[in-house]
Amino acid sequence: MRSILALLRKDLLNELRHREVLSLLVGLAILVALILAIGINGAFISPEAVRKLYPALIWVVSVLICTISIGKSFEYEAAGQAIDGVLLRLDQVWQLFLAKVISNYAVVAVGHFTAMLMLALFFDVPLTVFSVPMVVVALLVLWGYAALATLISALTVRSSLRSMLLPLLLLPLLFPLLFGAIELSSVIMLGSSPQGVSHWLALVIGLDLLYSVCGLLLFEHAVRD
Amino acid sequence: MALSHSKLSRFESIIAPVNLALIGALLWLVFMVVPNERVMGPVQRIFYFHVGSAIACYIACAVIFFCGIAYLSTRGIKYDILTQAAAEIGFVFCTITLVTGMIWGHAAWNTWFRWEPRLVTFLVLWLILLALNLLRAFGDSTRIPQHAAILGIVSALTVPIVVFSINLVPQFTQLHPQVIGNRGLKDPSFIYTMCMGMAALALLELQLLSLRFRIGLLEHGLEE
Repeated sequence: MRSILALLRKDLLNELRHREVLSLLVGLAILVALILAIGINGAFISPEAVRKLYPALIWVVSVLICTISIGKSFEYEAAGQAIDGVLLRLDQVWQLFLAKVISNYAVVAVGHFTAMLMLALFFDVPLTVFSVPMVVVALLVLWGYAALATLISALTVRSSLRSMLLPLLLLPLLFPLLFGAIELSSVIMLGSSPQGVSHWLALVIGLDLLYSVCGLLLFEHAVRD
Repeated sequence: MALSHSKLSRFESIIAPVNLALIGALLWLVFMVVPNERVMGPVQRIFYFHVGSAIACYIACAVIFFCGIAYLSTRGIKYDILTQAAAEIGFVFCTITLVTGMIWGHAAWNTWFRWEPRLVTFLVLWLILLALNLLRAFGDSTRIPQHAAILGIVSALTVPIVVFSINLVPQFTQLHPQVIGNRGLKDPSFIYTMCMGMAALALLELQLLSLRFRIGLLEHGLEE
Protein backbone atom coordinates (compact mmCIF):
# COMPACT_ATOMS: atom_id res chain seq x y z
CA MET A 1 0.00 0.00 0.00
CA ARG A 2 2.84 2.37 0.87
CA SER A 3 4.43 1.81 -2.55
CA ILE A 4 1.16 2.52 -4.33
CA LEU A 5 0.67 5.76 -2.40
CA ALA A 6 4.28 6.82 -3.05
CA LEU A 7 3.92 6.16 -6.79
CA LEU A 8 0.58 7.93 -6.88
CA ARG A 9 2.00 10.92 -5.02
CA LYS A 10 4.92 11.07 -7.45
CA ASP A 11 2.62 11.06 -10.48
CA LEU A 12 0.18 13.60 -9.09
CA LEU A 13 2.95 15.93 -7.85
CA ASN A 14 4.66 15.67 -11.20
CA GLU A 15 1.42 16.60 -12.95
CA LEU A 16 0.66 19.45 -10.57
CA ARG A 17 4.17 20.90 -11.05
CA HIS A 18 4.32 20.63 -14.83
CA ARG A 19 0.57 20.65 -15.63
CA GLU A 20 1.40 19.17 -19.03
CA VAL A 21 -1.38 16.60 -19.38
CA LEU A 22 -4.04 18.65 -17.60
CA SER A 23 -3.48 21.76 -19.71
CA LEU A 24 -3.39 19.62 -22.85
CA LEU A 25 -6.61 17.91 -21.83
CA VAL A 26 -8.52 21.09 -20.95
CA GLY A 27 -7.29 22.84 -24.12
CA LEU A 28 -8.34 19.88 -26.27
CA ALA A 29 -11.74 19.65 -24.56
CA ILE A 30 -12.49 23.29 -25.38
CA LEU A 31 -11.17 22.98 -28.92
CA VAL A 32 -12.99 19.79 -29.87
CA ALA A 33 -16.25 21.01 -28.29
CA LEU A 34 -15.92 24.26 -30.25
CA ILE A 35 -15.31 22.41 -33.53
CA LEU A 36 -18.40 20.28 -32.88
CA ALA A 37 -20.42 23.39 -32.05
CA ILE A 38 -19.34 25.07 -35.31
CA GLY A 39 -20.27 21.92 -37.29
CA ILE A 40 -23.64 21.48 -35.61
CA ASN A 41 -24.57 25.17 -35.90
CA GLY A 42 -23.59 25.07 -39.57
CA ALA A 43 -25.91 22.12 -40.11
CA PHE A 44 -28.87 24.03 -38.57
CA ILE A 45 -29.76 21.19 -36.20
CA SER A 46 -32.55 22.13 -33.80
CA PRO A 47 -31.68 22.67 -30.09
CA GLU A 48 -33.93 19.70 -29.14
CA ALA A 49 -32.05 17.39 -31.51
CA VAL A 50 -28.71 18.66 -30.15
CA ARG A 51 -29.84 17.82 -26.60
CA LYS A 52 -30.63 14.30 -27.77
CA LEU A 53 -27.16 14.08 -29.29
CA TYR A 54 -25.45 15.47 -26.19
CA PRO A 55 -24.93 12.13 -24.31
CA ALA A 56 -23.21 10.63 -27.36
CA LEU A 57 -21.19 13.79 -28.04
CA ILE A 58 -19.73 13.97 -24.52
CA TRP A 59 -18.41 10.41 -24.80
CA VAL A 60 -17.02 10.98 -28.30
CA VAL A 61 -15.17 14.11 -27.15
CA SER A 62 -14.09 12.56 -23.86
CA VAL A 63 -12.68 9.35 -25.36
CA LEU A 64 -10.90 11.31 -28.08
CA ILE A 65 -9.16 13.83 -25.83
CA CYS A 66 -8.40 11.33 -23.05
CA THR A 67 -6.80 8.91 -25.53
CA ILE A 68 -4.57 11.66 -26.89
CA SER A 69 -3.45 12.73 -23.41
CA ILE A 70 -3.13 9.30 -21.78
CA GLY A 71 -0.34 8.42 -24.21
CA LYS A 72 1.91 10.57 -22.03
CA SER A 73 1.26 8.54 -18.87
CA PHE A 74 4.42 6.41 -19.15
CA GLU A 75 6.60 9.00 -20.83
CA TYR A 76 8.39 10.12 -17.64
CA GLU A 77 9.24 6.53 -16.71
CA ALA A 78 10.22 5.53 -20.24
CA ALA A 79 12.63 8.46 -20.61
CA GLY A 80 16.12 7.33 -19.69
CA GLN A 81 14.86 3.85 -18.72
CA ALA A 82 13.66 5.26 -15.37
CA ILE A 83 10.99 2.55 -15.36
CA ASP A 84 13.69 -0.08 -14.70
CA GLY A 85 14.61 1.76 -11.49
CA VAL A 86 10.96 1.94 -10.42
CA LEU A 87 10.51 -1.79 -11.09
CA LEU A 88 13.63 -2.65 -9.07
CA ARG A 89 12.22 -0.84 -6.01
CA LEU A 90 8.81 -2.55 -6.17
CA ASP A 91 7.82 -5.84 -4.53
CA GLN A 92 4.96 -6.40 -6.94
CA VAL A 93 4.62 -4.89 -10.43
CA TRP A 94 0.82 -4.65 -10.12
CA GLN A 95 1.42 -1.84 -7.59
CA LEU A 96 2.78 0.33 -10.39
CA PHE A 97 -0.25 -0.55 -12.53
CA LEU A 98 -2.69 0.37 -9.78
CA ALA A 99 -0.93 3.66 -9.03
CA LYS A 100 -0.92 4.54 -12.74
CA VAL A 101 -4.60 3.66 -13.12
CA ILE A 102 -5.56 5.88 -10.18
CA SER A 103 -3.50 8.84 -11.43
CA ASN A 104 -4.82 8.39 -14.98
CA TYR A 105 -8.35 8.10 -13.57
CA ALA A 106 -8.00 11.48 -11.85
CA VAL A 107 -6.69 13.07 -15.06
CA VAL A 108 -9.36 11.60 -17.38
CA ALA A 109 -12.08 12.57 -14.91
CA VAL A 110 -10.93 16.20 -15.17
CA GLY A 111 -10.92 15.89 -18.98
CA HIS A 112 -14.35 14.29 -19.10
CA PHE A 113 -16.07 16.81 -16.84
CA THR A 114 -14.41 19.70 -18.70
CA ALA A 115 -15.76 18.26 -21.97
CA MET A 116 -19.22 17.90 -20.40
CA LEU A 117 -19.16 21.50 -19.20
CA MET A 118 -17.89 22.94 -22.50
CA LEU A 119 -20.46 21.00 -24.56
CA ALA A 120 -23.23 22.06 -22.16
CA LEU A 121 -22.18 25.70 -22.55
CA PHE A 122 -21.85 25.60 -26.34
CA PHE A 123 -25.09 23.62 -26.90
CA ASP A 124 -27.15 25.47 -24.29
CA VAL A 125 -27.77 22.32 -22.25
CA PRO A 126 -28.82 23.09 -18.63
CA LEU A 127 -26.08 22.52 -16.06
CA THR A 128 -28.43 20.19 -14.24
CA VAL A 129 -26.85 17.64 -16.55
CA PHE A 130 -24.26 17.25 -13.78
CA SER A 131 -26.74 15.17 -11.79
CA VAL A 132 -25.63 12.48 -9.35
CA PRO A 133 -26.59 9.51 -11.63
CA MET A 134 -24.77 11.10 -14.57
CA VAL A 135 -21.63 11.66 -12.48
CA VAL A 136 -21.79 8.10 -11.06
CA VAL A 137 -22.10 6.60 -14.56
CA ALA A 138 -19.21 8.76 -15.77
CA LEU A 139 -17.01 7.69 -12.85
CA LEU A 140 -17.82 4.00 -13.44
CA VAL A 141 -17.09 4.17 -17.16
CA LEU A 142 -13.92 6.22 -16.66
CA TRP A 143 -12.51 3.61 -14.27
CA GLY A 144 -12.79 0.91 -16.95
CA TYR A 145 -11.34 3.34 -19.48
CA ALA A 146 -8.39 4.23 -17.22
CA ALA A 147 -7.62 0.54 -16.48
CA LEU A 148 -7.67 -0.50 -20.14
CA ALA A 149 -5.88 2.62 -21.39
CA THR A 150 -3.10 2.21 -18.80
CA LEU A 151 -2.48 -1.39 -19.88
CA ILE A 152 -2.54 -0.57 -23.61
CA SER A 153 -0.36 2.54 -23.22
CA ALA A 154 2.26 0.34 -21.53
CA LEU A 155 2.33 -1.72 -24.77
CA THR A 156 2.93 1.28 -26.99
CA VAL A 157 5.28 3.39 -24.87
CA ARG A 158 8.44 2.29 -26.66
CA SER A 159 6.98 2.25 -30.15
CA SER A 160 8.20 4.89 -32.56
CA LEU A 161 4.59 5.42 -33.67
CA ARG A 162 3.30 5.61 -30.10
CA SER A 163 0.88 8.51 -30.52
CA MET A 164 -0.78 6.92 -33.55
CA LEU A 165 -0.65 3.31 -32.38
CA LEU A 166 -2.34 3.88 -29.01
CA PRO A 167 -5.74 5.01 -30.40
CA LEU A 168 -5.65 2.23 -33.00
CA LEU A 169 -5.16 -0.43 -30.31
CA LEU A 170 -7.32 1.12 -27.60
CA LEU A 171 -10.43 2.42 -29.34
CA PRO A 172 -11.69 -0.89 -30.84
CA LEU A 173 -11.47 -2.50 -27.39
CA LEU A 174 -13.40 0.40 -25.85
CA PHE A 175 -16.54 -0.10 -27.93
CA PRO A 176 -18.52 -2.21 -25.43
CA LEU A 177 -17.75 0.29 -22.67
CA LEU A 178 -18.69 3.14 -24.98
CA PHE A 179 -22.00 1.45 -25.93
CA GLY A 180 -22.83 1.14 -22.23
CA ALA A 181 -21.76 4.72 -21.45
CA ILE A 182 -23.87 6.24 -24.24
CA GLU A 183 -26.94 4.11 -23.44
CA LEU A 184 -26.83 4.90 -19.71
CA SER A 185 -26.14 8.62 -20.24
CA SER A 186 -29.00 8.84 -22.75
CA VAL A 187 -31.46 7.16 -20.39
CA ILE A 188 -30.47 9.48 -17.52
CA MET A 189 -30.48 12.67 -19.57
CA LEU A 190 -33.45 12.12 -21.83
CA GLY A 191 -35.51 10.26 -19.29
CA SER A 192 -36.32 7.62 -21.89
CA SER A 193 -37.56 4.16 -21.01
CA PRO A 194 -35.23 2.60 -18.43
CA GLN A 195 -35.69 -0.82 -20.07
CA GLY A 196 -32.44 -2.76 -19.95
CA VAL A 197 -30.65 -0.16 -17.80
CA SER A 198 -29.66 -2.75 -15.21
CA HIS A 199 -28.09 -4.88 -17.97
CA TRP A 200 -26.08 -1.96 -19.34
CA LEU A 201 -25.00 -1.05 -15.81
CA ALA A 202 -23.97 -4.66 -15.19
CA LEU A 203 -22.02 -4.59 -18.48
CA VAL A 204 -20.12 -1.45 -17.46
CA ILE A 205 -19.31 -2.79 -13.98
CA GLY A 206 -18.33 -6.17 -15.46
CA LEU A 207 -15.99 -4.46 -17.93
CA ASP A 208 -14.47 -2.37 -15.11
CA LEU A 209 -13.68 -5.58 -13.25
CA LEU A 210 -12.46 -7.41 -16.35
CA TYR A 211 -10.05 -4.65 -17.41
CA SER A 212 -8.81 -4.16 -13.85
CA VAL A 213 -8.12 -7.88 -13.36
CA CYS A 214 -6.51 -8.18 -16.83
CA GLY A 215 -4.29 -5.19 -16.05
CA LEU A 216 -3.25 -6.50 -12.62
CA LEU A 217 -2.37 -9.92 -14.06
CA LEU A 218 -0.83 -8.90 -17.37
CA PHE A 219 0.92 -5.61 -16.64
CA GLU A 220 4.10 -7.31 -15.41
CA HIS A 221 4.49 -9.06 -18.78
CA ALA A 222 4.11 -5.70 -20.55
CA VAL A 223 6.92 -3.91 -18.71
CA ARG A 224 9.33 -6.69 -17.72
CA ASP A 225 11.38 -8.86 -20.10
CA MET B 1 5.02 -27.63 -28.22
CA ALA B 2 5.57 -30.74 -30.32
CA LEU B 3 4.48 -29.25 -33.65
CA SER B 4 7.30 -29.45 -36.18
CA HIS B 5 7.72 -28.47 -39.81
CA SER B 6 7.79 -32.05 -41.13
CA LYS B 7 4.80 -33.22 -39.04
CA LEU B 8 2.72 -30.27 -40.19
CA SER B 9 3.78 -30.80 -43.77
CA ARG B 10 2.51 -34.42 -43.57
CA PHE B 11 -0.70 -33.22 -41.86
CA GLU B 12 -1.31 -30.69 -44.65
CA SER B 13 -0.76 -33.30 -47.36
CA ILE B 14 -3.53 -35.36 -45.72
CA ILE B 15 -6.08 -32.59 -45.10
CA ALA B 16 -5.51 -30.73 -48.41
CA PRO B 17 -7.41 -33.31 -50.57
CA VAL B 18 -10.13 -33.61 -47.88
CA ASN B 19 -10.46 -29.85 -47.86
CA LEU B 20 -10.62 -29.70 -51.65
CA ALA B 21 -13.37 -32.34 -51.64
CA LEU B 22 -15.34 -30.51 -48.93
CA ILE B 23 -15.14 -27.16 -50.71
CA GLY B 24 -16.12 -28.85 -54.00
CA ALA B 25 -19.09 -30.47 -52.24
CA LEU B 26 -20.03 -27.14 -50.65
CA LEU B 27 -20.01 -25.35 -54.02
CA TRP B 28 -22.08 -28.16 -55.52
CA LEU B 29 -24.62 -28.00 -52.68
CA VAL B 30 -24.82 -24.18 -52.70
CA PHE B 31 -25.19 -23.73 -56.45
CA MET B 32 -26.83 -27.00 -57.58
CA VAL B 33 -28.84 -28.49 -54.70
CA VAL B 34 -30.34 -25.93 -52.28
CA PRO B 35 -33.49 -24.28 -53.60
CA ASN B 36 -33.86 -20.52 -53.86
CA GLU B 37 -34.96 -18.99 -50.57
CA ARG B 38 -38.59 -17.79 -50.86
CA VAL B 39 -38.05 -14.10 -49.99
CA MET B 40 -34.40 -13.36 -50.77
CA GLY B 41 -33.97 -15.45 -53.92
CA PRO B 42 -30.50 -16.48 -55.16
CA VAL B 43 -28.55 -13.89 -53.11
CA GLN B 44 -29.35 -15.87 -49.95
CA ARG B 45 -26.79 -18.48 -51.11
CA ILE B 46 -24.03 -16.17 -49.85
CA PHE B 47 -25.25 -17.07 -46.33
CA TYR B 48 -23.40 -20.43 -46.41
CA PHE B 49 -20.03 -18.71 -46.90
CA HIS B 50 -20.93 -15.84 -44.55
CA VAL B 51 -21.75 -18.08 -41.55
CA GLY B 52 -18.78 -20.41 -42.16
CA SER B 53 -16.37 -17.44 -42.26
CA ALA B 54 -17.85 -15.98 -39.07
CA ILE B 55 -17.34 -19.31 -37.26
CA ALA B 56 -13.76 -19.49 -38.59
CA CYS B 57 -13.19 -15.98 -37.26
CA TYR B 58 -14.39 -16.97 -33.77
CA ILE B 59 -12.13 -20.05 -33.86
CA ALA B 60 -9.18 -17.75 -34.65
CA CYS B 61 -10.06 -15.60 -31.61
CA ALA B 62 -10.10 -18.71 -29.40
CA VAL B 63 -6.66 -19.73 -30.74
CA ILE B 64 -5.33 -16.20 -30.05
CA PHE B 65 -6.63 -16.37 -26.47
CA PHE B 66 -5.27 -19.81 -25.54
CA CYS B 67 -1.93 -19.34 -27.34
CA GLY B 68 -1.54 -15.90 -25.70
CA ILE B 69 -1.94 -17.46 -22.24
CA ALA B 70 0.36 -20.35 -23.20
CA TYR B 71 3.03 -17.91 -24.46
CA LEU B 72 2.99 -15.79 -21.30
CA SER B 73 3.19 -18.93 -19.11
CA THR B 74 5.93 -20.78 -21.01
CA ARG B 75 7.56 -18.14 -23.29
CA GLY B 76 7.53 -20.79 -26.02
CA ILE B 77 8.08 -18.96 -29.31
CA LYS B 78 5.89 -21.47 -31.19
CA TYR B 79 2.84 -20.20 -29.28
CA ASP B 80 3.70 -16.69 -30.43
CA ILE B 81 3.97 -17.86 -34.04
CA LEU B 82 0.55 -19.54 -33.73
CA THR B 83 -0.96 -16.35 -32.22
CA GLN B 84 0.39 -14.38 -35.17
CA ALA B 85 -0.96 -16.93 -37.66
CA ALA B 86 -4.41 -16.89 -36.02
CA ALA B 87 -4.52 -13.07 -35.96
CA GLU B 88 -3.70 -12.85 -39.67
CA ILE B 89 -6.04 -15.65 -40.78
CA GLY B 90 -8.82 -14.51 -38.43
CA PHE B 91 -8.55 -11.05 -39.99
CA VAL B 92 -8.97 -12.55 -43.48
CA PHE B 93 -12.06 -14.56 -42.45
CA CYS B 94 -13.51 -11.53 -40.64
CA THR B 95 -13.05 -9.48 -43.82
CA ILE B 96 -14.83 -12.23 -45.82
CA THR B 97 -17.71 -12.19 -43.30
CA LEU B 98 -18.03 -8.41 -43.53
CA VAL B 99 -17.81 -8.31 -47.33
CA THR B 100 -20.32 -11.16 -47.86
CA GLY B 101 -22.63 -9.48 -45.32
CA MET B 102 -22.37 -6.18 -47.22
CA ILE B 103 -23.13 -7.88 -50.54
CA TRP B 104 -26.21 -9.52 -48.98
CA GLY B 105 -27.15 -6.24 -47.28
CA HIS B 106 -27.01 -4.38 -50.59
CA ALA B 107 -29.52 -6.83 -52.05
CA ALA B 108 -31.75 -6.96 -48.97
CA TRP B 109 -31.62 -3.40 -47.62
CA ASN B 110 -30.43 -1.53 -50.71
CA THR B 111 -27.42 -0.16 -48.82
CA TRP B 112 -23.89 -1.48 -48.30
CA PHE B 113 -23.78 -0.67 -44.60
CA ARG B 114 -26.24 0.48 -41.99
CA TRP B 115 -26.10 1.01 -38.26
CA GLU B 116 -27.45 -2.38 -37.39
CA PRO B 117 -26.04 -3.73 -34.09
CA ARG B 118 -24.69 -7.02 -35.46
CA LEU B 119 -23.00 -5.31 -38.39
CA VAL B 120 -21.40 -2.76 -36.10
CA THR B 121 -20.19 -5.42 -33.66
CA PHE B 122 -18.56 -7.39 -36.48
CA LEU B 123 -16.91 -4.21 -37.72
CA VAL B 124 -15.56 -3.75 -34.17
CA LEU B 125 -14.24 -7.33 -34.25
CA TRP B 126 -12.55 -6.56 -37.58
CA LEU B 127 -10.93 -3.45 -36.03
CA ILE B 128 -9.74 -5.51 -33.03
CA LEU B 129 -8.08 -8.06 -35.32
CA LEU B 130 -6.60 -5.22 -37.38
CA ALA B 131 -5.15 -3.75 -34.15
CA LEU B 132 -3.50 -7.08 -33.33
CA ASN B 133 -1.80 -7.10 -36.72
CA LEU B 134 -0.82 -3.43 -36.45
CA LEU B 135 0.89 -4.06 -33.11
CA ARG B 136 3.06 -6.71 -34.80
CA ALA B 137 4.00 -4.24 -37.52
CA PHE B 138 4.57 -1.07 -35.49
CA GLY B 139 4.96 -2.10 -31.83
CA ASP B 140 8.04 -2.17 -29.60
CA SER B 141 10.21 -4.54 -31.65
CA THR B 142 12.05 -5.90 -28.58
CA ARG B 143 8.85 -7.09 -26.85
CA ILE B 144 6.46 -7.92 -29.68
CA PRO B 145 5.60 -11.50 -28.52
CA GLN B 146 4.68 -10.46 -24.94
CA HIS B 147 2.75 -7.41 -26.08
CA ALA B 148 0.91 -9.33 -28.82
CA ALA B 149 -0.03 -12.03 -26.28
CA ILE B 150 -1.38 -9.41 -23.82
CA LEU B 151 -3.36 -7.59 -26.50
CA GLY B 152 -4.56 -10.95 -27.85
CA ILE B 153 -5.88 -12.05 -24.45
CA VAL B 154 -7.67 -8.74 -23.75
CA SER B 155 -9.05 -8.66 -27.32
CA ALA B 156 -10.27 -12.27 -27.20
CA LEU B 157 -12.00 -11.57 -23.88
CA THR B 158 -13.66 -8.49 -25.36
CA VAL B 159 -14.96 -10.34 -28.46
CA PRO B 160 -17.75 -12.35 -26.71
CA ILE B 161 -18.79 -9.21 -24.82
CA VAL B 162 -19.01 -7.25 -28.06
CA VAL B 163 -20.92 -10.07 -29.79
CA PHE B 164 -23.39 -10.72 -26.95
CA SER B 165 -23.92 -7.05 -26.07
CA ILE B 166 -26.27 -6.79 -29.07
CA ASN B 167 -28.80 -8.74 -26.99
CA LEU B 168 -29.08 -5.62 -24.83
CA VAL B 169 -30.15 -3.53 -27.82
CA PRO B 170 -33.96 -3.43 -28.40
CA GLN B 171 -35.12 -6.07 -30.88
CA PHE B 172 -36.86 -3.52 -33.13
CA THR B 173 -33.49 -1.91 -34.00
CA GLN B 174 -32.07 -5.24 -35.19
CA LEU B 175 -32.45 -5.99 -38.87
CA HIS B 176 -29.96 -8.85 -39.10
CA PRO B 177 -31.83 -12.10 -39.84
CA GLN B 178 -32.06 -14.42 -36.83
CA VAL B 179 -31.99 -17.48 -39.07
CA ILE B 180 -31.11 -20.16 -36.55
CA GLY B 181 -32.80 -18.59 -33.50
CA ASN B 182 -36.10 -18.22 -35.38
CA ARG B 183 -35.83 -21.65 -37.03
CA GLY B 184 -35.69 -19.98 -40.43
CA LEU B 185 -34.09 -22.93 -42.22
CA LYS B 186 -37.21 -24.79 -43.34
CA ASP B 187 -35.76 -27.03 -46.05
CA PRO B 188 -33.41 -29.80 -44.73
CA SER B 189 -30.95 -29.00 -47.54
CA PHE B 190 -30.49 -25.50 -46.04
CA ILE B 191 -29.33 -27.07 -42.77
CA TYR B 192 -26.86 -29.61 -44.13
CA THR B 193 -25.43 -27.07 -46.60
CA MET B 194 -24.87 -24.67 -43.71
CA CYS B 195 -23.16 -27.43 -41.70
CA MET B 196 -21.03 -28.32 -44.74
CA GLY B 197 -20.10 -24.64 -45.13
CA MET B 198 -18.99 -24.41 -41.50
CA ALA B 199 -17.00 -27.67 -41.68
CA ALA B 200 -15.31 -26.78 -45.01
CA LEU B 201 -14.28 -23.29 -43.92
CA ALA B 202 -13.12 -24.46 -40.47
CA LEU B 203 -10.93 -27.10 -42.11
CA LEU B 204 -9.63 -24.53 -44.61
CA GLU B 205 -8.73 -22.33 -41.67
CA LEU B 206 -6.90 -25.21 -40.01
CA GLN B 207 -4.90 -25.80 -43.18
CA LEU B 208 -4.06 -22.09 -43.52
CA LEU B 209 -3.06 -21.93 -39.85
CA SER B 210 -0.72 -24.89 -40.35
CA LEU B 211 0.78 -23.33 -43.47
CA ARG B 212 1.26 -19.92 -41.80
CA PHE B 213 2.73 -21.61 -38.74
CA ARG B 214 5.32 -23.42 -40.91
CA ILE B 215 6.23 -20.12 -42.57
CA GLY B 216 6.64 -18.62 -39.09
CA LEU B 217 8.96 -21.45 -38.07
CA LEU B 218 11.12 -20.78 -41.12
CA GLU B 219 11.11 -17.01 -40.45
CA HIS B 220 12.36 -17.61 -36.91
CA GLY B 221 14.98 -20.09 -38.14
CA LEU B 222 13.47 -22.87 -36.03
CA GLU B 223 13.34 -25.38 -38.91
CA GLU B 224 15.44 -25.88 -42.00
